[in-house]
Amino acid sequence: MNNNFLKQWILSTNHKDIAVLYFIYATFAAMVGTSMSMIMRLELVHSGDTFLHNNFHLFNTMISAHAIVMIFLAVMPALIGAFGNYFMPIAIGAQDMSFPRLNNISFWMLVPGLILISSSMIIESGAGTGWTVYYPLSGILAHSSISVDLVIFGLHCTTISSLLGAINFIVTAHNFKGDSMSMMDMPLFAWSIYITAWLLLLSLPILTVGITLLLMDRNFNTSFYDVAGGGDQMLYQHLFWFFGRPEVYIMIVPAFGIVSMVLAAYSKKNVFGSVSMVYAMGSIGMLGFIVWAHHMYTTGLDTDTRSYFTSATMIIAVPTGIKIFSWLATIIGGSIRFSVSMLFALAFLVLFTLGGVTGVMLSNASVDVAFHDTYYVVAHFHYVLSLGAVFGIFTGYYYWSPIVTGLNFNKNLARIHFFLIFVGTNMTFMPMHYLGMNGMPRRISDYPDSYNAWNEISTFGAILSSLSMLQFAVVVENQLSNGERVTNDTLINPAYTFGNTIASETLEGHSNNAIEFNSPAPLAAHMFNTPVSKFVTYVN
Amino acid sequence: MSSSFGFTAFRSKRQQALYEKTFAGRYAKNFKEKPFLYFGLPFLTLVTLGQFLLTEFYQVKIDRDDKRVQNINADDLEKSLNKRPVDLKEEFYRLQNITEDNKNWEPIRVKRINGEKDNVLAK
Repeated sequence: MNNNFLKQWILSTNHKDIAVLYFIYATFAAMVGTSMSMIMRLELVHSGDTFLHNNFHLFNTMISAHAIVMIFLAVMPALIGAFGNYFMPIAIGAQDMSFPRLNNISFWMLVPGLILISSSMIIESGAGTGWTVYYPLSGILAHSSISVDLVIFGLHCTTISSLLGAINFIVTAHNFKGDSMSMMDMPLFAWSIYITAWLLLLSLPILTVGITLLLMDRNFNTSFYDVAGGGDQMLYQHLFWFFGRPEVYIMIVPAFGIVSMVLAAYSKKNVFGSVSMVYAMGSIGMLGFIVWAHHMYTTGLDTDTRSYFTSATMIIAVPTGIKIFSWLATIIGGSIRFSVSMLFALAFLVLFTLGGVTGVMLSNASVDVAFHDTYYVVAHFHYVLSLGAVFGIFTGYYYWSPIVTGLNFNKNLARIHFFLIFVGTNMTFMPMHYLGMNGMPRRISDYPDSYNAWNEISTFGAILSSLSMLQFAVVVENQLSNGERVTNDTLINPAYTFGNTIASETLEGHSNNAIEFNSPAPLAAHMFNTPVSKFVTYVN
Repeated sequence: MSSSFGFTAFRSKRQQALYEKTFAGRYAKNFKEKPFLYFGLPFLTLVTLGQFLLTEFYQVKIDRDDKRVQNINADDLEKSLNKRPVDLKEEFYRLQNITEDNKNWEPIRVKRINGEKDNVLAK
C-alpha cells in the first residue's frame, strides 16, 4: 500500500480527512440499513407470508439491525462525525480538533462496531430484540446465541467512539476558539455540535452500564435484571431510556445547526433570534434527560409519575416551537433562492414539525396507552429522524460538498434526488399514521387483511426511497468524476452566509461571513496555523 | 414585514437615545451585553418550572377522571339500571337448578331453508 495513502487515510490526524472517512462510512452503513428496511417492507407488502418464508425471527433481526445501523452507524457518524469534524473547527476558526489522535481512534472504533453488529445478524439466529435490547427478551433464555453479545460489544465500540469524539468537541469548543471569540460568538452549527457533545458525554455511559450489566446477566450468572435472582427488569428499561431519550436529540440537534445555516444563507438574512436558538437547543438537550419514562407509560408507572413525565415532555414543544418560528421568521422577508440544500431544509422544516406534532400526541400518557407499540409510533419517529435528521444530512451535503470536494454537483440530478426521497419517504411513513391509529402493532411481520391497502402504498414508497439512495449515489459519482470545478469566482455561493462573524471582520468587503465560504475551494488540508482572531475592531 | 424579522430598523442618534430610554430599548441593550442573565437564565428557569406547573394541570385532569369513576358505586349502578337485587349464594343455587333441568334435552333437526343443502349423506 502506498505509504502516503496509509498516512492520509488510515493514520490520519487531520479533521478533514477523518470527516471524509466518517461520511464514506456513514453512506455505506446507510446503504446497509436501507437494504434491511427494504426486506422489512417487502415482507409487509401483503398480509401472510410474502418474502421471508415464514422466518419471522429473521424479520425481528432485520428490525433490530436496521435501527442500530441507522442510528449508531449512519446518522450519528454523518452528522456529528462527518459534518461536526469538518466544519466545527472551521466555524470557530480552529486549526484542527483539540486531540487529533483521539479523533483518529474515534473513527476507527466504529469499524469493529459495524463488523460486530453485521455479524450479529448472520451468526446463529441473530438478535431479534429490537434496538432497545429489552430484558428478558435479550436474556440468555430467550436469546441463547452469541448474537446479542455481539450487539452489546458493537454498541460498546460505537459508545467509545462517540465518547472520545464528544470529549474532543467540548475541549475544542472551549480551548481552540480564537481569544476574541466568546461562546456566544460561536456560529449556530458549532453550538449545535457543542450541545450534542454534552448530550453524548452525559448519556452514553448510562447505555454502557445498562448493556454491560445485561452482558453479565447473560454470561456470568448475575441477576441485575433477573427477577428470579432478586433483580429488576424495569431497571434495564430505565437505564436504556435514560440514554435513549437524549440519543434522539443527539441525532436531531446537529441537523438543527445545519438547517439554521442553510435557511439563513439562502434567505440572505441572519438567523432570527440566534441567542434564543442557542438556548432552545440547550433546553431541548436539558429536558431530554428528564423525560425518559414517556417511553414506559404502559409499564405500570403510577399516575403521579405519568403526569409528571407527560407535562415535562409537553414542555419540550416550547423550545422546539421557538426554533420552528425563528426559522420561519428567518425566511419571511428574505430573498429566497431555492437551491437543492434549501429545498431539503424547507422540507425538513415542514416534516420535522409534522413529526413533532405527532410527538406531542404521544407524550400524553392517556393517549399513549392506545398508541404504544403501534405503527403510529413508527410513523412519528421516522418523521422526526428519517425525514428530519436524514434530510439534515442531505441539506449539509448539498450545502458544503462543493467546498469540500472543490467540485459542483449536477443540480438537476440533485433535484431528482430530492423529489424521489421527498415523495418516497412521505409515501412510506404517512400511511403508517393511519395503520397505527387502526391498531396495527409494530415489530410484527404479519397483519390482518384489512391493513393491506396502506401497507402496499407504504412499501411502494419504500421502493422509491431506495431508488433515491441510488440516485444519491449517481449524484456523488457524477460530482466526483464529472463535476464542474469550483473556482474563486464562483466561490461566493451562496451570496450570503451566516457564520463566524470574527472571520468576516478580518476579511473586509465580504458579505459572506462564514470562513469556509471565504477560503479557496477545495478547502486546504490545513487552513490556518493559529486560531482566527479579531484584528479589526468592529463597530456595531 | 421586512422591518420586523431580523432587520434592524435605522434610528438616528436622537431616536436611538430616546429608544434606549424605553423599557424595550433598555432590555435590548442589556440583552446584547448579558444574554445569559437577560434571556438564558429566565428562559431555562421558566422551562424547568413550567413542567412542574403543567404537572399540576395534568394531575387535575387525572383527579377529575378518577372522581368520575369513584362516583359510581355498584349499588347505585344496580338501582339506576333497575335490576333485581343479586346475592351470590342465591345465584349459585339458582344456577344449580338450571343445570339439573338441563339434563332433559335431545337434539332436534330443524327444517332447512329452501334451497339450502341439508348435508345428509345417505337417506
